[in-house]
Amino acid sequence: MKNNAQQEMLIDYAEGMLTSEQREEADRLLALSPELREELEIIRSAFSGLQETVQDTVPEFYFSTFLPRLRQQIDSGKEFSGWSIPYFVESVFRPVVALSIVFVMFTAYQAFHPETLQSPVYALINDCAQEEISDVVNGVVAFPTVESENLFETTLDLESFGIDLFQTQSESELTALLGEQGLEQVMQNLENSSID
Amino acid sequence: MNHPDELQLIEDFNNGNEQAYNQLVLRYKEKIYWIVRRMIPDHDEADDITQNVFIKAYQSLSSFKGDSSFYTWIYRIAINLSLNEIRRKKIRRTFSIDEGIHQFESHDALPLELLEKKERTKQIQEAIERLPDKQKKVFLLRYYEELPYDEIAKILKTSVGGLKANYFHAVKKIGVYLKHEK
Repeated sequence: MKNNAQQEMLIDYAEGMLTSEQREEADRLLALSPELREELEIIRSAFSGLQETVQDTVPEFYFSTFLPRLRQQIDSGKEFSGWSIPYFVESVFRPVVALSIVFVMFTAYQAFHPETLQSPVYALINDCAQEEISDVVNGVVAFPTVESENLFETTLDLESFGIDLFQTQSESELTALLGEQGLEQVMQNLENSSID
Repeated sequence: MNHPDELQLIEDFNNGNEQAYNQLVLRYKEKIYWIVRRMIPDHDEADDITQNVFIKAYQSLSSFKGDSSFYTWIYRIAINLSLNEIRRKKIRRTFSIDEGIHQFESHDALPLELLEKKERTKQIQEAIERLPDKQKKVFLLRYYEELPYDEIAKILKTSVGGLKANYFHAVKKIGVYLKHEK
């Protein structure tokens, strides 16, 4: 690893900026180090390549019309179209906007597809095998799985259960699946269960 | 250091003299355009950003305290807006690849030497675009603008020692890239 002084020396050497004394010292160091010589060659090829480039051009009258165009933009008072948001703001802003859009789309989708509004009860019953549903309906077990019991215990009290059930349009599906009496029985079983 | 008349121009502008602002634009439009153009090779995009640099200066000049020179201040705006634009639009090889290829295709009667120069220009542009932001800024200010390190240090708010190392690595990376592309 070269130190800063050697790096600076290589740049100045390639650009021809060294004094004669500095150049002699540089030549001595270069003679001793193949690595330095190789690096000098790379630096030289970079400068050589840079000097070979074609000069960029600008349209005729660009600079002479720059100020009038700029003044027009300023004086018109229009919103500056190319105004850039600082990158560090943008890096936070973009994901937040993206998540917001996803959230809005998801909410809208649910609003138009109410069957996807799976209340915990619906989810529970929908995931159960027919035999398990029968057990729930018949009060053999209150909850077919430990997970479903945990679900009720952690997310549902009886009041919210009722609200969820009757606000969701999946009630009709529950009725179709369990029958009115079956649904009533499930609710009864739940009320009698140990949910606090 | 600020040119004395620049401080006067800024003060005049802040007192409502729009002509003073125009003078500053006329003085720096080319320098700012070219520093932007080195980073945003497409002319139209570089033009947009250059205008935005001066618009931002117009809006912020009242907050200019004169701690640094005006051109240090406006260079910093130009570099930051250019880098923001690069990041935002993910500009990759805009100029020389698109424009260069079109020119190449539509000017196949160009002399071989000119075609080679165009190809080399494209490679240089690619090499610069690949540099990390810090090295890119230092390289552009040092090589193309020929600014002394202490001025670059003021613009980028960093140490001269670090700048020299950045410049060395930038030049070396360009050299390595060109070597591999030959």
